[in-house]
Amino acid sequence: MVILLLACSDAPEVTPVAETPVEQAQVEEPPAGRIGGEPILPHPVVLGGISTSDVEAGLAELDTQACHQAFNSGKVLVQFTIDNEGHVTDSKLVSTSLRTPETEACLVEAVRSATFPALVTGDKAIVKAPFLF
Amino acid sequence: MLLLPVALATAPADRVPTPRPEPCIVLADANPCEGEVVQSQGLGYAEVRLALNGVIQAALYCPRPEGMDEVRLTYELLVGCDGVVDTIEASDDGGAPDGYVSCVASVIEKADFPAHDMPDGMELTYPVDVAW
Repeated sequence: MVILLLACSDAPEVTPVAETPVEQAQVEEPPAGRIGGEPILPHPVVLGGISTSDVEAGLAELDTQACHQAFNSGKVLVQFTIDNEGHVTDSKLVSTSLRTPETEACLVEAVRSATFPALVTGDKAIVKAPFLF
Repeated sequence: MLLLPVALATAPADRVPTPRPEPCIVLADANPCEGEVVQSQGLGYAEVRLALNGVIQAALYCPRPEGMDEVRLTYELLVGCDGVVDTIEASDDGGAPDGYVSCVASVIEKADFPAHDMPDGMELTYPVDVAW
């Protein structure tokens, strides 16, 4: 190691270059805030062993208009799970353009009382269903 | 030399690429003699969500309306079978000024959906919540 250093002693002396500020393009900060939403499709979206028409028929039995308050209109998307016997095991609000909490809570509760045919396959089906007011 | 941020004068909608129209999906001809029924499916939920999520963050660059901490907007979209937004209109402006509502709309309008099989287009509703 010592020999190597001696051998290089004839190399021109390198003077350290003073650090100069480097111009850089400003990195843009992402804007503050949060934005997002869940789309509402015009028809139920079904994942699992039940047909869309069976889901629509089951939902048609519900008196969802009883939840409605006349001063408002819009769409509400509710997600629920159907077990293999056709019962709803849970339901929740996914998206709304109605933005009337009482109506939305009433609707989520009403969906829990819906009944459907037993599933053809699988243990559960997950449904996202739109309701129009 | 003064280097300005490239995006300084960029409109929010210009931050996302303009989608290219794709060939519409044509349903195979059903043969009624054999009891065949072919029903158009339109776009799936995941496809719609993916397309909208791909652009909506750019709408944060729309100038915040003065005095507003949050706003809830609702847009009605018609997505052509070529996967491009055909029409968009705000059904609920949440009290936001027109300039802001149209700025967000111009971003959403650039969502790149897949082609689908509904020749008259597919309608969907998109409630958007913004908070600062």
